[in-house]
Amino acid sequence: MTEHATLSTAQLQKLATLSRLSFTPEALTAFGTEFQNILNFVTKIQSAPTANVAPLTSMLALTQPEMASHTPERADAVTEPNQREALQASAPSTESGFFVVPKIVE
Amino acid sequence: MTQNLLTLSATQALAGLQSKQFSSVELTHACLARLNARTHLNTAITVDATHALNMAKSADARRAAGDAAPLLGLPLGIKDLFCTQGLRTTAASQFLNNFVPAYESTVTRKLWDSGAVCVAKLNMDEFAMGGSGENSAFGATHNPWAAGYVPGGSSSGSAAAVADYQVFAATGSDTGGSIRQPAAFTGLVGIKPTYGRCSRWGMVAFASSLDQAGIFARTTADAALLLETVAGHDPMDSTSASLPVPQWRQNLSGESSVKGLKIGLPKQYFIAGLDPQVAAQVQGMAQQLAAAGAQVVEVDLPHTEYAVAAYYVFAPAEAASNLARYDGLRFGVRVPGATLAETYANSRSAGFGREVQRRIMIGNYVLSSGYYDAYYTQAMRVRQLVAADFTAAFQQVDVILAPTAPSLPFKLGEKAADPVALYLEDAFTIPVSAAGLPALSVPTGTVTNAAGVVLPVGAQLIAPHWQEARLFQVAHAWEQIRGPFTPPFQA
Repeated sequence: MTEHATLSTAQLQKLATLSRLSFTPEALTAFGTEFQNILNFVTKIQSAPTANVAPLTSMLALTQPEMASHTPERADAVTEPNQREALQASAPSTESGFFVVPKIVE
Repeated sequence: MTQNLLTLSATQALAGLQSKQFSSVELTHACLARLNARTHLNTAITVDATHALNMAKSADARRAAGDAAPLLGLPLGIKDLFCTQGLRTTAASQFLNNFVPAYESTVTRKLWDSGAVCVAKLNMDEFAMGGSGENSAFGATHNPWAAGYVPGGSSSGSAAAVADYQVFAATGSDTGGSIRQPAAFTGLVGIKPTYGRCSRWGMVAFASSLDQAGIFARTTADAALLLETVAGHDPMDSTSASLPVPQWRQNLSGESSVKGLKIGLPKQYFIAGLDPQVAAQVQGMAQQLAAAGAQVVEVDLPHTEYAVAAYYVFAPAEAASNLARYDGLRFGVRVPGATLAETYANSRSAGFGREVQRRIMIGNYVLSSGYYDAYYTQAMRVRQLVAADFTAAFQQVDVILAPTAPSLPFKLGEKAADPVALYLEDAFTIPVSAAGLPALSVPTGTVTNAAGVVLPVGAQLIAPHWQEARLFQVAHAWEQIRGPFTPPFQA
């Protein structure tokens, strides 16, 4: 058990990187305190009497048990018209009908 | 005249439209004028008057041609996380400030097919993360009962707009209490149906195993009518149930009775942290229901104390996964960096508010290798226990009655500095969400807080899966016992 895990600044920084978020060092420190408070709070679950209790894996198991073993699927058919212009209207950058994205291959 | 129109219930407004006492254009003008005169409450993010009036004109034309769609010409507000085709949808996030959806959510499509008019896209906590409305990139919403007080959240604008008579009803979404708590804080009826009752297609996702659409209205009958319209199976959401939608509204005609109904009061909800005035209101309601013939008994929900902590593990875990799509490449904010990873991080940090970033970090932490079992799996075990508590309780009672929120509406800023204090606001709504149950908040009455401000109190009714009819029945019966209750109309 990881009761009252304490996060170092390096761990927080790694978590921010993995979360694709960037913080100034000051913001990360302030954030660390809040984060630690939340973590201390949720650690309460580790004292719950869960021996021999299976984790809930699907809401359907509760609400529609007959569906839980097989989520319904739609037919693999084209239903939508081409909406390129409408979709690209909200894009940060486009050119000649293409999305412009940062270069990733050097 | 305008006040006479705006204070009608949705049911009355529809009757007036049908008998040609007024037109949808007149109603819509009245709503738009009210929104415009009450901008200090900050209920709306986007108001497109031309679009609203065109919808109203179209509704009037449909009626003139003999169309009798159930919501024909009724002006509504929409929480700004339901995608509306061609109309900006922000989820109150800077990230989506300029996002105009290319498609319509199923819930709103059903409303427009039924003839409703979209008057405003309403304010909310960013990505529905919050319980006060303060986490909006477009500024906090005020409670129409008392400016300077929160209307609750995350559906803050929906609650405030309906309670302030800016619209006749509104959609909301509820993940951990986001319809019920703001309904309680603004003196409205708010229903979160069973998980799977409404389609989630086109709703900006927060936590997909919890998110559910619902309704804010000023009466139970109005809420039943609106929910009836938006509920039902949708092939676009594989968790939406293939069950017939009952005619909830029609079944409320005449007097509802609670005679012989078994109502449970969960002892774990009447605890030290509960405001004594809220407790007294809910206990008073239980006594009056008992006097009307209901059998009120105590029920045991023994794992309640773990529910909020578990929720703040699995909900952020789902949020972190859902919000991974916001990469600033195909839509939303892009802030270029030296590398692709830096572009992602810059864009997301510029676009997301503090609470959203906090939940993404928590979510990724509890899902990370080494912590997954201790946090995520354990939280899902607790979720199983919480759901089993309700299953056992419903062996003994037909419906559960509880406070909706532990406190009265509080002041803006009062709980902003302490995320955990705000999380505990949802202590009575989260367990219900975790179990996917339907629940409805109905006003019990008003109380006066320590500062002498009159504020509403709400009680939560909880039913077994798919038994929304019981919620409407008890709430409707309660309205007859309690007598008329509406938020004050502030001129």
